[in-house]
Parts: sequence; structure tokens; C-alpha cells
Amino acid sequence: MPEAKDFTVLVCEDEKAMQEALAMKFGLTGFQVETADNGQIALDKMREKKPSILMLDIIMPVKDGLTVLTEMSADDQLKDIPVILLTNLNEPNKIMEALTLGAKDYVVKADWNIDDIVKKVKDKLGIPS
Amino acid sequence: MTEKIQDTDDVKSEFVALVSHQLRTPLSAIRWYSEMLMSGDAGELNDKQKKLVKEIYRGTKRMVELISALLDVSRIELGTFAVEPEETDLAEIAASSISELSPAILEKGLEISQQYDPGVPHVYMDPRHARIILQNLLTNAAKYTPTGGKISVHISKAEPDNVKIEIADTGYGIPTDAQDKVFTKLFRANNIKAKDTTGSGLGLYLVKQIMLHNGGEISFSSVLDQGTTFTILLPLQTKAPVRKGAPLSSFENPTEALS
Repeated sequence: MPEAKDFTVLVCEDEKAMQEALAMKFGLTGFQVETADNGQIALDKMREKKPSILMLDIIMPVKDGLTVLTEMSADDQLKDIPVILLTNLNEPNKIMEALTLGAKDYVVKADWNIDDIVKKVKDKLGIPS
Repeated sequence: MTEKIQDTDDVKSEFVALVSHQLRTPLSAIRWYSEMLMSGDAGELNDKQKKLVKEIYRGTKRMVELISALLDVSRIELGTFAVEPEETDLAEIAASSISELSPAILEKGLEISQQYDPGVPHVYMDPRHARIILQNLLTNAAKYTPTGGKISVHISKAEPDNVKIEIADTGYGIPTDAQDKVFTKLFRANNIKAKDTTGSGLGLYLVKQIMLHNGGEISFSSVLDQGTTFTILLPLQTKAPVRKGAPLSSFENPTEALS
């Protein structure tokens, strides 16, 4: 039976408070956690060690979420990493574009409880709740 | 000149979306941290601490909903909200909206009756608009009806080409001198009997605007201390032109507003 400790979540979010909240919650749930402040750092970390899943903000400095997805889909090493978007934009065009670029799912941060976000990740990874 | 107006509207729309994003981001963080405190992720809280954190959480959630409502108002006024009509089963949306009210209903011991006449056709409209209309009206009915009161929902066909929805409550009613302001922005009836009048004050304004865009009508009758009935007429085929844009999404969370 898969357990959270067998998986690594990479949280790519430029808002420090949100990044740390997610990292803390995933850590308390038992996941291995990596964090990245922008898309370039996330790509560098993923190339060094593949995470089990990527939580990806869309609007970020240096390299945004859509660019990360584009680069991931062109990279054989990264294209199979499941991605869940983190967004506070009520802009379905950007979300649709991201889903077309390969993201598996998304959460609107303002609307989701942090426990439910963790549950979504567990569901995606096949970890029983 | 028309192009200039459109450019200005685009800039305004983008500005509102950006401000909304910038406001919702720190609020999301506050909300998550208060959720984690309530869950005991930083150690067990005593009852007083739990109460304080719960207030932080509720206040934050309310602010997020207010921002969503303001964003929707802006989108409606600029005409930039999405309209994606499809065959919409109003009875199904009404029933699911009522089930979402369940915790609040149970707490207040409200009696809910639902009557959906047979053979009422589906309405061709954006189902998200139907959901906002029904959720807002039902939330208000539950909020402004005292413990042990009743709410009824009746959906029927109205000739020649409309569907009628009536939402009636045995609540506090709307004071006569406030009735002409019901659909204005930030309206809140000064009814001292109502225990909780929290909310954005934009719900009914949004409902009215959505109705107008769809070519429908909304009216109400209300008697103090006896209750209020809202009546909606929706055309079977929406008059709102199909449009890409951001969806309207706000509604007042019933369990937060009533608990």
C-alpha cells in the first residue's frame, strides 16, 4: 500500500507564506517536500531529482507556470511528472492553456481548504486517505 | 472612439482581475494558516484559542467571498463575464443548492419544501448563472428566517415561454421603507430581529443583473414578520449572447453566514 513517505512533492510558488504553508502541511502529512520560488528553480530541481508530483503556481517571476509546462512537455525526463496548478486567477483562459500544456488538474487557492489540496494530491498519487 | 472605450474597458477589466488576484493571495495564506491552527498542526489549542482562530478563518473567508463578489460586479458592469449556455435543469440545481444549505438548515430547524412541477422543460442558459441565482436566494431565505421557520421552492412552467421559480420563506420580511433598495449594491435590510446580516450586500444586485442579462424578470413580495417570496421568470432560451470570458463565481457561503 503506497504511503505519503514514498513520494516527493515539489511546491513551486513565489508567495513565501503560501509556499511554506503547503510545505508544512505536506510535510506533516508524511510527504518528502521540495520547494521552489520560481519556475526556473523548479525546472533545475526536477532535472536533478524527479519529484512524484509538482504543485505549480502560474504567475511567478523569472519563469512562469505556463513556460515551465512548455519546457516540461518538451523534455522526456520531465514530461510524465503530474502537475497540479495553483492559481488565484479567475481566468479560465490561462487555466485552459495550462491544462492543454499538460497540467493534470488545478486548484483555485482562495477557494480550497489546505486539507482538501493535500487530499487531492493523495488521490492523484493513489495514496489511501 | 468605440475602440478607445473598448481599450479602456479592457484595461479596467485587467486591473480588477489583477487587484483581485493580489488581494486573494495573502488572504489565502491567512486562511490556510488558520486552518492548520484549527487542525492542531502547531499543537493542540485550548477552547479560547480555537474560538479566536475560528474568527480569523471566518473573517478571511468572508473577505475572499467579498472580493469574488466585487469581481463579479465589475465583470457584469463591463460585460466581460462568460456566457456559455446549455440545457439546464433548474430543479436539479435548486435541489443541490438546498443540500449545500443543509448544515445551516439543520442548525436552525428549518423546514424545506420542494415542488417541481412535472414536464417543466430545461432552460437553455449558462448553468453557473442559474446556480448563482438559486444559491443567493436560498441563502438569503435561510439567513432571514428564524429558527423553526419554513422555506419553500416551487418550479413551474409559465406560459408562453418561461419557467417560474418561487422561493418563499416565513422569515422576518423586508421593511417597507427598504423595499425599493433591495436590488441595489450593498443593500442590507436593517431588520433588528435578524440575528446575522453578514454578507457582501451584493448578492441580490448580482442576481438582478444576471436576470436582466438573460432576459428574465425578478420580483418579490414581503410582509414584516410574515416572510418574503421571490419570484423569478426565466425565458426557456436565454437572451444573453454567448461570450467567452471569466465565469461569475461568487455566492454567499450559507454555513459561514449562519453559523
